Amino acid sequence: MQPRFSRLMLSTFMTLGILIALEIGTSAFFPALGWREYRLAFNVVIILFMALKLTTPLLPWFVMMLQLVHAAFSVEGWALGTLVGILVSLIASYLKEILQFSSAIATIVTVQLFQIVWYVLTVSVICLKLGTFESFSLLFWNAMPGTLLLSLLSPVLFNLLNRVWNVEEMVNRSGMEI
Amino acid sequence: MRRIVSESSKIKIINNLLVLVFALYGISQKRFDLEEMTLFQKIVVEVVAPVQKGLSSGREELVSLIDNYVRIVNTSKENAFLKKKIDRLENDLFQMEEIRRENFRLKQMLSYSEDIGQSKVLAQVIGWDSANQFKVLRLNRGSNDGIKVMSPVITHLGLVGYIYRVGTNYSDVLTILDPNNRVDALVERTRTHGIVEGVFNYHCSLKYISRTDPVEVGDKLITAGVGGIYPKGVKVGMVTDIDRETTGMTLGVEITPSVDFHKLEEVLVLLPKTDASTAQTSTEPSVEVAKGH
Repeated sequence: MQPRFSRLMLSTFMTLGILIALEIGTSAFFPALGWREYRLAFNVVIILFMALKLTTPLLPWFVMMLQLVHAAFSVEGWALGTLVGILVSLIASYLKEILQFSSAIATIVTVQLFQIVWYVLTVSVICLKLGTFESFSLLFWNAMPGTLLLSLLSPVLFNLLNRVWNVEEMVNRSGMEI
Repeated sequence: MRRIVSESSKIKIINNLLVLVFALYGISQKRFDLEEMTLFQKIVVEVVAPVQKGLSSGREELVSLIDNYVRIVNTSKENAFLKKKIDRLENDLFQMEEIRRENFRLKQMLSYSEDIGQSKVLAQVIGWDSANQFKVLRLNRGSNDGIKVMSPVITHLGLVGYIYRVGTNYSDVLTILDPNNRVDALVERTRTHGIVEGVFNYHCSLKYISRTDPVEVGDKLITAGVGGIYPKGVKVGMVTDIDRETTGMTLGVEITPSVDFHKLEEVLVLLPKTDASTAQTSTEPSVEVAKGH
């Protein structure tokens, strides 16, 4: 039990490290190169990876931890992403049986579909907070170019996170889940 | 096995419910117009902001690296040697040009700041909000430099926004491009009042302008000085489109901000007047120049 928990903690901290590096890239590196129109929400893809690949009961807490770190880079805060992350992970848990990541295309399409769900939920909550749905379509479509690029990058990111979380190995060893 | 699975499901449901309750509480308490940094956020910002600052200030090196080195990987040795030499010279020229431009910008900023009878801090933009939905930028100055929440942020071109949250050495600005930032503005020519709101796409809209008001494309907007955040008379933007087809009592007015947010590198943060009186001993306005921490 102990090594498994320590392994989980190690994977969590490594994931947080990756998130911080990617957040620095999206908030400072790309804008420094003149790309300021769109931001790449790497936190969304990492949470989607967890929702789609991990079945640990601690998943909601991992989502919250990732969003707490993300909040240091965005005024979005931790709560909105946590709420949406959990709702998306609940949807993913029902669809897990029919989803497969055998090819890069399958990963790209799956991630894109879940990102659309993510932004429909996120923008809805923001509009509810603003008290008007006037900006819904603008906010939603504004996020789409970034999601397309993130989906294209998702096979690489999923591959990296597979190694961090040792997904294949752990599924085989336990027969079911991490 | 079935019992183990059902216990695992129970734990999962409990965890989901607990975190959902926390998140819902967090959202209900969340304000998109003002925020106090938590200790955790302060620690993360203090640790990562120097890296953001390093990346931001190393912009010319990054551009030079990509332009001058990545593209010449496959050239011959001799060519590489000669090109490197030219690159070095070009890089020197590029850096000198960057310094000249920075010098020009700072001079403009300083000459503008002399017109404002208030203490201010010159700060560099070191990062942008990592979420698309918010138009927030990060500065390399914080509470150590006297910056407080709600301090107005301007440039010589006009209004940028106000300080949304402050760390010890860094602060975040909610720009006028963000819909959570509302600026009470005046149409300079007609003195008509309206509220400027961000609309995400590097434009703003002017709201509550009556259909009978004689607002025209090209009219300039300034801050009205109402609301206690922004001083009166700071340029906000220009009317670039008026939608007279809309139904209702008010016009749809599109505003292009005076500040070019794509090229924003340095800003002035106006310190609160109570601090200004203590920080300013003479009648001359003082400007601290950001040299980096």
